[in-house]
Amino acid sequence: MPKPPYGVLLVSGKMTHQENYGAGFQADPRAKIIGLTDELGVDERRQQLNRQLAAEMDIPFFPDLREALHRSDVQAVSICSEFERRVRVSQLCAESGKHLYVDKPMATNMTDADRLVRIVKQRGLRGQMFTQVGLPYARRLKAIVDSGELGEVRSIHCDLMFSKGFTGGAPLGRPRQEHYPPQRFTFPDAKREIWTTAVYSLTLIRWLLGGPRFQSVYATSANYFFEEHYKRDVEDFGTLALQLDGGVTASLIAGRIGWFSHRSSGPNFTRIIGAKRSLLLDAHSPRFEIAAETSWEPPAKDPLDPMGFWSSTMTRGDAQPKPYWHEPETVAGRSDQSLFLDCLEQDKEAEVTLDDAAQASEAMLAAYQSAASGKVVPLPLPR
Amino acid sequence: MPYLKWLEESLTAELAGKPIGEPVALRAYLELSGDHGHLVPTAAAAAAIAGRWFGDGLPTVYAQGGANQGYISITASYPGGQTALIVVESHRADTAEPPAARLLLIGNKGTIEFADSPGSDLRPIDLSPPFGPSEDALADAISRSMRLGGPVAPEGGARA
Repeated sequence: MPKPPYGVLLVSGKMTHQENYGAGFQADPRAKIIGLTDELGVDERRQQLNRQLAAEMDIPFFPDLREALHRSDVQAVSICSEFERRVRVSQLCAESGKHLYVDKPMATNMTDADRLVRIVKQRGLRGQMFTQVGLPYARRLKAIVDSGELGEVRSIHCDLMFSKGFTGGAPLGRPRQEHYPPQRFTFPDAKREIWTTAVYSLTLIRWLLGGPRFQSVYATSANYFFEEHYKRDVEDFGTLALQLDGGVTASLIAGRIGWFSHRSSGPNFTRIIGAKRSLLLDAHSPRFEIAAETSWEPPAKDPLDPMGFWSSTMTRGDAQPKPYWHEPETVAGRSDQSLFLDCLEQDKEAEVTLDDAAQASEAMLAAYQSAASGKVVPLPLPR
Repeated sequence: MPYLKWLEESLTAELAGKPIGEPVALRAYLELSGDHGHLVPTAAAAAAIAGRWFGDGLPTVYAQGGANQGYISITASYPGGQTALIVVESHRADTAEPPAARLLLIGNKGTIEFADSPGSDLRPIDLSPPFGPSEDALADAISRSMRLGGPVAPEGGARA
């Protein structure tokens, strides 16, 4: 592996997580952003958004991904294409010999996921999917598990919900009828919350345990909060109960619960049951709780981003942090982009590889099958 | 009065004013009794209580763990679409940590969190699980789910 800086090409721009990842790479001196590109033939809106982010970051815009991949100064690619295009773009980049930094989740079907993992392995590339394992709470959990203080881990339970969006309009009183396989993943006003939130807990659980594979999934999905999700017929809340290798079990809640449903960014608890003792870690602890004459209002509902998905629309709406809890740093976190650059610099496997990403996709696809059928779904899924 | 009965009554009173809209989901972590025989009845009691908060009938349950593991984890799916994830652990006296109860009740308009170390203020407290017809039916369903490895609907219909 050559020495840094590493040339990083961004694929897809504004109103994707590239707004954050691009900034993360720009902040690390080991990365040099070569430019922003995308597939030829993306729609006009996507083209405009791509050009906007390139202009704001003051980096070149290359209209043709395939041409941009010929550049010898590009060693790695940060891929934030829409869910349905993501694995195709990733395969193209890997076939060009570029290391991959991929937004989550990586793939919408297991055939494509397997193929991408195979290409990356055959080519000797590094690949990482964005997760939360660099955040302070995850680093704290990892240190606790690795210390052996809990004894052998028997079970892990994660509750991760995002406190965003304006609730109302989802009819209650009947179970959601889930569909399998899911037909569409990308919407301007809603995200499948199992798909976009459970992925964090699924990768965290396996990362904490050292990589055992999921054996089975039992899941529920629901529409509790948002008219947008209900109208798109996608879930805003889900639960998964999992069996892993070695008899370890896990459960998780994933959801989006509304701006006013939490004093900070949303509930984030992890309960670990060990053979010696158990531990519950609230990611928002320790904290200073502040009561004062301070009020808080969410940003106005943005018609282009009513759920508050993207940093740029939050900035445009002058979104302010909630003033109630202040959380002092206990353990230093690492930006996910810097963890990826570690892999390139030290020529080592990512903490969350694309094989891990494929495992997460498989568990979530199994979750939709389980929620649709009401049955426990064994893994691996048939190919 | 059993602790869980007190907790049910207290939170039921809070919910009367609909501070979180309609309750739709519950996450509960309970570490109350050191008796492994209390794991299933405690999980059943918590699921029955959640059903009364949801105003709905008995849930289908999927259970993992077991007395030999020191915990039971259940997913409870209610007829009206509500969900509860309940983890019950045997309290380990050797860790010198007090019993613990932690709830996150999620409504369609807000959440209620509750955290307690029952008995840590030296009040005498009954940590045994409450029982009744719903609790019995759910305890049976939880046991069958662990035996069968799949979700089980309790016998007896829609009592709450």
